[in-house]
Amino acid sequence: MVTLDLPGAEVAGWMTSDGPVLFSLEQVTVRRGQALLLDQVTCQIPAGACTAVTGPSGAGKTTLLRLLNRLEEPDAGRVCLDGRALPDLDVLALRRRVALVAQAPVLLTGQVLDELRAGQPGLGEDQAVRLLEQVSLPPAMLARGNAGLSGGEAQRLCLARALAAAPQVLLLDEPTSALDAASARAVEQLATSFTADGGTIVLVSHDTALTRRIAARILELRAGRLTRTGPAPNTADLREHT
Amino acid sequence: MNPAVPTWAGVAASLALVAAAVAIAWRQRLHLAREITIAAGRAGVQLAAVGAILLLVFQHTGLAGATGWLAIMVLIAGQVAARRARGLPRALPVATTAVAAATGATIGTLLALGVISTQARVVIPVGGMIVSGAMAATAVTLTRLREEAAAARPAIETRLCLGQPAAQAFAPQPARRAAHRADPLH
Repeated sequence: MVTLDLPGAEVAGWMTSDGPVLFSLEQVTVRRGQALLLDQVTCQIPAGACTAVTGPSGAGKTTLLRLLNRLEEPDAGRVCLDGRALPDLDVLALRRRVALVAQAPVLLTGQVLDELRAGQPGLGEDQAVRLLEQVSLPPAMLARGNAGLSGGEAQRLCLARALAAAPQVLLLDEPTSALDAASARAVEQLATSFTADGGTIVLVSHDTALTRRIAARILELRAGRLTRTGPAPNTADLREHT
Repeated sequence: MNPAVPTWAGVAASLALVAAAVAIAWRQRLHLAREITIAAGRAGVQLAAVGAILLLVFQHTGLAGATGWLAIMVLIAGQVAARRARGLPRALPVATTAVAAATGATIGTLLALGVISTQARVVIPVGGMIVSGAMAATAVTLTRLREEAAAARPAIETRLCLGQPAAQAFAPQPARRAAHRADPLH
């Protein structure tokens, strides 16, 4: 059962109130063993805007995020990108177009430059420096090893690595959870400029203030069910879930 | 007297040992007497049945029969190895192919070089040992592979998210480590 927060929630066809539809989920159900992670979720995610997925822990937010780049497959229903079902698309191209940055940073190499090149092989040093600057990391870090990075630095490096592939969509799972206030502001500015340049962000965050500032739409999940979807959080009753 | 065939005295001695084990279990109130009796009876029936079939194979079918016998053993060994690696996709065909390849290559080499006789009574026991070893090695390798995949899941998923193909995202380090750990000498 899906409860829509009308008016201005969903618009029929391939438009939402915030723009053209990029992703659409149709009656999507995900089970893992006995657990029902998502239960007949139907919603749309507009292009060129930030959509925040909110809800308490265990509500299915990360599962929804992982569906969008096929790290998870639905047991029922379908997920479409630009009107095409995800299984009909080349999965490798999809994942480069739709980049997911996980909550826990995972570094794959020993050097910062190599880490960025894991996102884009052949990346030049100038491009790498620009990526670091985008996530408020000092250019001098390029020659450093990954071993001494703090959690916040590693998280921002993972974000820069994802940006290296020039994705059209960023799926961000708690991107500021390990960051201090200044670093969190930098990520926020990055998100704002990413959407201003036409990119799409799907954000999972417990940071209500961040969500209010950058999200154009919200999808609220509870126990795997979509309980609310609608426009900007400052006009909706966005609850605290911390 | 053929030393491979037990005498009736030997069978009687075995039954006496089983009876002693049952008696001890009963006297010590271990609640195992019934299980021991059933297990011994079942083993006796199975051994008699297998022995009868082997006798037929030995006397009438030659190398072809031995090959068929080993093929059945390979299929069963593949199922056992795959069961131990539950959770891995396509574990059954992979395990069966691995056991079959190891068994075929080893027994084929032994036969081709004349190391062992082509008689069924030689091929089947030697082949059985090879199948058993191959099954154990396959099961350990698949189990390690599953453990490595579970441990390296965040890194594998990260590589997938960067657009790497599944094989590239998983390999090469975890597979190498799994093979390394499957080697009992390491």
